[in-house]
Amino acid sequence: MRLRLLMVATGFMLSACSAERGFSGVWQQVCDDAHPCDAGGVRYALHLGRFGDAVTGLVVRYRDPGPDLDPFRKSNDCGCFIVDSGLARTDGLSFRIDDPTLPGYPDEVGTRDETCEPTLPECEAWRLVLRGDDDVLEGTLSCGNREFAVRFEAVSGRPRTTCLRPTP
Amino acid sequence: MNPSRRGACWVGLLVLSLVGVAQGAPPVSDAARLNAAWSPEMARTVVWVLPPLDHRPILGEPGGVSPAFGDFLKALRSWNNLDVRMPDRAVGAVTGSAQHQQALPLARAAARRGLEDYRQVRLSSAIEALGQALETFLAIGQHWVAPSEVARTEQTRGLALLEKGDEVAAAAAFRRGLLVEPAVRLRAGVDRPAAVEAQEQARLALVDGLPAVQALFARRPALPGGAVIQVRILPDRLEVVLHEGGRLVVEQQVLGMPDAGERLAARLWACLPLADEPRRRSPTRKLHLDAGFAWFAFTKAPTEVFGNVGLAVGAALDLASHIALEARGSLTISSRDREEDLRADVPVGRLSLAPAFVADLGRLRTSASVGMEVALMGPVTTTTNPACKFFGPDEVPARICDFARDVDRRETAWTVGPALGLGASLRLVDEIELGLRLQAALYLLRTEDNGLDRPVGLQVVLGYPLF
Repeated sequence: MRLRLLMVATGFMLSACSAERGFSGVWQQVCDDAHPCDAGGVRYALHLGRFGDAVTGLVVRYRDPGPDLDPFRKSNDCGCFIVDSGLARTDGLSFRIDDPTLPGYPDEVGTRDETCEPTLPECEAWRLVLRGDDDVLEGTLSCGNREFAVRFEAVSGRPRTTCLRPTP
Repeated sequence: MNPSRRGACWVGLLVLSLVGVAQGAPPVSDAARLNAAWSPEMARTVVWVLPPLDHRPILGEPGGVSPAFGDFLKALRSWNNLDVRMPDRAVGAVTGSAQHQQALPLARAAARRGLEDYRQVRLSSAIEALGQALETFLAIGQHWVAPSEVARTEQTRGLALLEKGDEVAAAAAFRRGLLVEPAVRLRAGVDRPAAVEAQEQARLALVDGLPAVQALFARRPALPGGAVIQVRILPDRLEVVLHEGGRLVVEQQVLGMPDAGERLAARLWACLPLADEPRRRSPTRKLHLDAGFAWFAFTKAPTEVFGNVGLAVGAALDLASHIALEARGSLTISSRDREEDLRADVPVGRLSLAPAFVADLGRLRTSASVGMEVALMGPVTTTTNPACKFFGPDEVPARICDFARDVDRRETAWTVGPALGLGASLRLVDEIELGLRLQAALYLLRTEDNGLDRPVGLQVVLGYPLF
């Protein structure tokens, strides 16, 4: 009994100080009736890292090649945005990204090369508010009163940590 | 008389007077001096005294209380170097032994079976079962605990043998029964007259020649260590057998004189060792070694609390009663804090040396120590910028994460300060101990201010007292 109590106390102490990593990882946008991919003919993948209450990472944009084709191939990659002002809660997260209508990859001074331009209204910054669990995140991509329903599913893989254009 | 001769004369008178005073002092016996100077730290000689065997009823005398035996016990207990375990305690030791507790139910079952066989006139079975019961009773010392029970079993066996026609064996059984408990008798008018007569003949045979006391008490009863005294009370004397260290000493004392009990006790006391092996009041000069797991956290840190897990070793040398010198070391590696502000594992080595107050409470050993601790900590790298945690250098613009500005790195540091320890260890099996130790320290001196201080934690260790 004493030994069991000791093990429980030790486990509690070890877990109490461990890092909070929920929602960290790679998430890919999926489309269904409730979440049509009508946000400009592109799909998004989230590469997130959570550190306590803070969320950071990248949002990578892909051309949507149409039904039955995998959009999340490197050849479809057409834009990258750094997560800004990310906050995590127990059941969800929210963050901001630069205007996803911008053409492509930012460099050190913020200029972007020509890649793809989604047919979205221009907006200074877009906001993603998502709720869910370790497998699915659902929410909205919005700017002002314009709002699109989005759904992301967790996939295995190591999060990408650079917006430099990947080699195809 | 010149002055020098006068001085010599005074010195001579002084010496003579001192010698006279010394010779005039009352003589003190060796025994009295030993008794007076007995140190409580020395282990007294344990002497078990079994209940006396009162054979007076065999000889037609009334039994009961024997003042001489009482005086004998009183005299024995007056010696400071003896730890006299009285008859009731000796009986308790016999009944408390595992052998007695395991074997008694079997012996009683055999006795019941033998009695039932006897009642059903299955004489051979009865004799065999009763014989088995008696053998076990005697082996476990039941004749000291419940002599009537043993004597009745022997008596029943005698009856069975008699009915079977083995009069010689029956007489022997009746004699043995009477020697164990003379008061257990067959009753005229109730029991078979032939059996009553056979038992009486057996008693008369004992009157003609009682077995020698050394034959009766030849075996040392199964008692814990120490000397064992067995006494037979006869109308005119006490007979004593002393088992001590493999020796068998036989003494007897005629009861005609008023101090018979004291005389007998004095003679036995002279045969006993002065003291047992010196008793170790506490395990002094013992080196305890232990090893196990260590966990601690810095209660002062530039980040949220993070755990440090690793291995611990320790040694405690008992210097004196309740005083020990403890040396403890641990080697740990840090985990991460909740926000992961700590960006690299921090290896920490800690070494403490402290005098400790130790208390041994049976299987539990507790200690409290205050000493000094030296710690060596590896580099400490921290940041509060989430982007600096997620991205690598050159992966993000400086406005997102400036690694030179946003990431803080402190070099390896040595620290020194007072340490406090509280420990408890429980002896599990043999000498193996399970220990739990709480430790805290406060660093007063350091070569580099890395922001880490006031470690508090615990160690779970397995220990062994080496010698």
